Amino acid sequence: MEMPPNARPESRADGSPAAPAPIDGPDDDALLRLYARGDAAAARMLCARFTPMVHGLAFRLLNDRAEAEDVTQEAMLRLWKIAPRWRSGEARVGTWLYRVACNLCTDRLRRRRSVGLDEIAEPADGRPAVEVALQTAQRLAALEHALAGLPERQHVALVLRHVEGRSNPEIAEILGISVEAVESLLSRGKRGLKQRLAGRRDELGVLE
Amino acid sequence: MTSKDPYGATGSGRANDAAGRKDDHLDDDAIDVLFALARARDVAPTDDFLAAVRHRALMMQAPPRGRARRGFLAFRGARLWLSAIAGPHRAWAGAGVLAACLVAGLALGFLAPPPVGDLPVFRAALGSNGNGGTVETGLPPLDDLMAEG
Repeated sequence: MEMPPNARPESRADGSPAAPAPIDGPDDDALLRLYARGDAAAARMLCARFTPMVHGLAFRLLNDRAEAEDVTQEAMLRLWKIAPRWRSGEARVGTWLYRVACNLCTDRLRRRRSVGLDEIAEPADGRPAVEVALQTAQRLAALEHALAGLPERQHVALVLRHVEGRSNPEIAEILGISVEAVESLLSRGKRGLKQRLAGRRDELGVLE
Repeated sequence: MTSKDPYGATGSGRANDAAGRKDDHLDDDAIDVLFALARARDVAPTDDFLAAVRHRALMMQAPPRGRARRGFLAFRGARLWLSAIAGPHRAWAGAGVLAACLVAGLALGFLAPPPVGDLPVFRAALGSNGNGGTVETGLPPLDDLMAEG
């Protein structure tokens, strides 16, 4: 299997992805305080800093752009509302937003599960039928389908760790559980993922 | 695990056995490649959506106007006071509210007009001192004036 040409190059020593680099400027707490005082520039900077982050997580978890946008709007709205009462030092803004987004996504994943996974259409590939692009789309669809079959917590933990590049302590803070529980979730999740994907080896092109 | 017994009746050797296990699970490298694909996927929000979020943020920031603003300020004042009462400066917050009530009460006492009947000009006009007697105006009673006239 070849790596995609636009894969993110940066990674940690163990091969896992690195967390996205923070945008330069005032720290998040200071920006939020400025926002609460009515500073329009702070509002713009907070939007630029956090909207893509929350949207990316929601999109990867829900695999639906419209739903990801709904979750992002809701999470950002909660941030604006809490800004005047934000207590610096208790939690990082990014972690707090991740937690809100994860909870919103988990609610939606649970609702989806209640209607049945088979009723959810797999994403279609609208690009030209270039072999590599087609195979990439198939692999992504297989991964998303396998992730969707896992329990929600395992799904969220795997995406946070292996796609978003968050560390285990960060994931523990986001999910509100211990680091050991995160490791257990990740281990069980990865095992479940491998079992679910094993039946789609041909589709994934692993045997080539 | 695999339904194929690695030492089963198929008589397959170690290579087949390994292949059988491989059919059951993907190896870590394959999973990592799939995760790399997921990372490389474009999940950026559209410009329109970013603009909508920004607009919402600025709208949430804009202070209300007119009556809504007065209500907003009253609400913020009440919230500030409640948080002060719950905090370490509760004595000052309580004293401040008592002082404000005292000042308001005094102001109302000075500014509010007394009952109409208590004003001297009306007492004179009504011919009553408020106790059922005649007001001492220095003039003879009206009936005497009429009789003389």
